[in-house]
Amino acid sequence: MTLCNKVMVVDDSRVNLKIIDLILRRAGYETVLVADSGSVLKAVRDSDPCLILLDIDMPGLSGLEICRQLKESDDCSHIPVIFVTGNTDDATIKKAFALGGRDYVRKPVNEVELLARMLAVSVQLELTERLKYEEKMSGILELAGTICHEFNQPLQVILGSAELLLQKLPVGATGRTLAETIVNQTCKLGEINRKLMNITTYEHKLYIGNSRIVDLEKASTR
Amino acid sequence: MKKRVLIVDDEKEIRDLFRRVLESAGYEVETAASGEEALEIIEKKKFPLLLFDLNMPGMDGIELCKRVRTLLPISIIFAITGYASLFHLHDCRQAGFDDYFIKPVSIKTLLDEVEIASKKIDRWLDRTN
Repeated sequence: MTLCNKVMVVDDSRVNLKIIDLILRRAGYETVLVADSGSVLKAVRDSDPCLILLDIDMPGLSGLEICRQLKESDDCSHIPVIFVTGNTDDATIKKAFALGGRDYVRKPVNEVELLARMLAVSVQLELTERLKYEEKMSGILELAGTICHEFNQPLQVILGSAELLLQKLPVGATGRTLAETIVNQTCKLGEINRKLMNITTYEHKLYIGNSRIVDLEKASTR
Repeated sequence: MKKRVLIVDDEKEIRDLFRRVLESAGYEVETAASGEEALEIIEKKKFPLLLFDLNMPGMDGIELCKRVRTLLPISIIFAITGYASLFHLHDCRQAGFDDYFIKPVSIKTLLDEVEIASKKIDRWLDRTN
């Protein structure tokens, strides 16, 4: 399981930033520290963290407002947010979750609690990614199955008809080479279809430019 | 003497192709577009050789084979499918199919297998007579 590594910490208090930074780096995380609430969105886009620890009470933009903006943005909404706050009244916590926060940690920060909650969110994130992968796989398999079924019917008719034609054409007759080509190429298409039917993993390769296609040789068990 | 063959496939082009192939090899061929139609034909005539598509609307080839196997125990039934993942060899054997082909199948392979099956039927009939 590949868990989250780069974590952004947002807090207007330099002391809090330093404490959390120390805890995270000791635990093996890479950190991105942001003290200015107004620059969080840009910093997120620049550094692409996999998790954000967000203070709530900050001058300028509050953590709740930053969370709302993150969740409304197309490119940042997938990044999980854990609030780090001294303000744990019911209304604030309710709002924090309503705005898309995954969890919260009370200040002063307890090292064990912080790391445990981060790990829990990280595992949750990984499971979500795995589910997306499974859905993608399932879609590919369904598509492959449909293509195979729909293609194999006409392929059967083309192959059989070309073979019948070959039977009727004497050796050396005009068109015999063409009929043989049709038979050979139809057999090749049938083989490609069999590979499609045996796709078991999502393996892909570069195609043209940055576009990617399924790597049939690796994805198929056949 | 060439035998009677029943071809069951919902695709007309496939039925026509297999009919042409088997008739040109001397077999007497009948076709059905569905499992239900096949059962009606089998009620009236016996077939020693049968070719079933697996994926058909209504009764699929597996169900058809299970029913035909009890009606025609001395027969050889082949499955011909365009979608191998949907039904596996295990399901086919369990349903009573003697062999299994994935489309597109070469007509030479098909004819060879039908010929072998035909000889096998002859042997069976010799023993029972």
